[in-house]
Amino acid sequence: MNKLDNFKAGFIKENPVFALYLGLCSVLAISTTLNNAVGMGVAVIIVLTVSNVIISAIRKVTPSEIRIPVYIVVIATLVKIVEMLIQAYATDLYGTLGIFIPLIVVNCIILGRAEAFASKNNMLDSLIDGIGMGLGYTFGLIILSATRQILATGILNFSNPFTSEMMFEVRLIPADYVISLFSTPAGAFLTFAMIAGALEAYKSKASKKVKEVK
Amino acid sequence: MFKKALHFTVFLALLSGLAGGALAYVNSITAPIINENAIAAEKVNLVKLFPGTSEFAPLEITNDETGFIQSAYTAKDAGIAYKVQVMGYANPIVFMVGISNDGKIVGLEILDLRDTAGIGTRVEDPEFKDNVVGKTTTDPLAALSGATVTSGAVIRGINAAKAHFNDSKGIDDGGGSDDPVTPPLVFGDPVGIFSNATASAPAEILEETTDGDVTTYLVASKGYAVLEGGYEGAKPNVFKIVINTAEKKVVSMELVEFNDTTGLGDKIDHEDFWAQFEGLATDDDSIEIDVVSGATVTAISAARALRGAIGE
Repeated sequence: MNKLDNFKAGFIKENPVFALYLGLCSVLAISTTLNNAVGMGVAVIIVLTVSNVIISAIRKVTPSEIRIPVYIVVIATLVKIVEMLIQAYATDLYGTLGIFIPLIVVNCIILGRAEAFASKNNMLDSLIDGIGMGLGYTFGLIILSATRQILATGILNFSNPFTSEMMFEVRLIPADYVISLFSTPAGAFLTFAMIAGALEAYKSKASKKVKEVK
Repeated sequence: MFKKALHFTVFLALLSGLAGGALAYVNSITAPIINENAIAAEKVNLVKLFPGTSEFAPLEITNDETGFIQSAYTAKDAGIAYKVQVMGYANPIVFMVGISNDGKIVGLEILDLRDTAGIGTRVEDPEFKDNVVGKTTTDPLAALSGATVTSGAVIRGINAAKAHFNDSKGIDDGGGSDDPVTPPLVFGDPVGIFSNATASAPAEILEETTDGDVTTYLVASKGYAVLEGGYEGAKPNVFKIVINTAEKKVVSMELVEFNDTTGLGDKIDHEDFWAQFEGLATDDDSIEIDVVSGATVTAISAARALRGAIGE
């Protein structure tokens, strides 16, 4: 696998959210607004990339019997640092993400990539894998959140998480035609299932095409 | 085997040490900013409590036994603001109370209140706030009659703040109770002990014991249940009346047996009501007491009992 494929894998084929179904707890809970999605996504990209690099760097000295506690210490430390930074510099985001920031510690994408990739590959590949997978997670989260936000409120907006200043706001559906169900947990499951299904259909169609060409 | 275990231990300890160091470093940078953010979020309310003050600093609360105080802020040269959460009638109530440096309650801001509209929400009315604001930290505070659960909870919270304030300033509050005092009585019209109102249904002396100059009477006097309720098996109220026959003065009066409507007639069992009787001259036929609003008939039964004890 070359470096580009490695990077691209996280987006569609191995998208952690819609193809691997990893880390769904926080995804379903916080995917109500675009702001949440971007904030959570960036937090996960940082934690995933840095933890991948550190775990890859210490993979040769880490005794394999205690590797899981070692990974957890590394990941928990990084998450706590990110949490403190968010609380200090992006208070509004901290308020809306709340408990789901510390829960990144037990997000299986991060431990999964540490175990499946970073512990077996060099630091550069682990860095690329971390960014790719993190972007894939963020990409999935943004699609889910934007869909839910538009269906539930009719508005798509994004505000600067550091200053709370509104950067853009568009109304896509008139207020009389919004479906508030989509902001509820049930709406999260419905939206998730539809997007995952559409992605699966696209993938099977694409693989059929490859076969026909052969 | 032992060597391996030691290797693991040292490795994990080293890693945890590094992690701890990194966390401490980031914390030292972010903690002041987080603190400032927390104050900024509360500042809207802090300024309401201490108008004219703009410098606030968080105050760490360590000696709050009640657990009601969530956070506290010192207002520079003005006082301390306490953010308190207590359990109300159905939901937690969050409020802020400001205490000035000279020990006066300067403000009360209810932040979150979801108790019954029209009843529990009365703690937001001036009637309640006026009762609290302006008092010193050693004054007892009274609950609102008719909204005792909500107002009592708020007062317990204020008392926790008062206790902390008194403690930190070394003010002796005499180990003040955490519970609110009974609400003050609302008195109605005066009624003469020897007026027509008490003549209608004479009281009955059940027991009379004399000890030197002091005579103690147990008097049964018909109250609301017998006179107006007309229930089957309705009984009169029984009062204990102590009279000093040498000085011709009423020493004390209390309710021994209550048979009228609970929640209405029993309002008379209040120190302010009994205080009216103490010292009344038994040889003066113009003596009078004020009845209690909402418990008029029961209050008159008390007057009637005294008339019965003094005799014509």
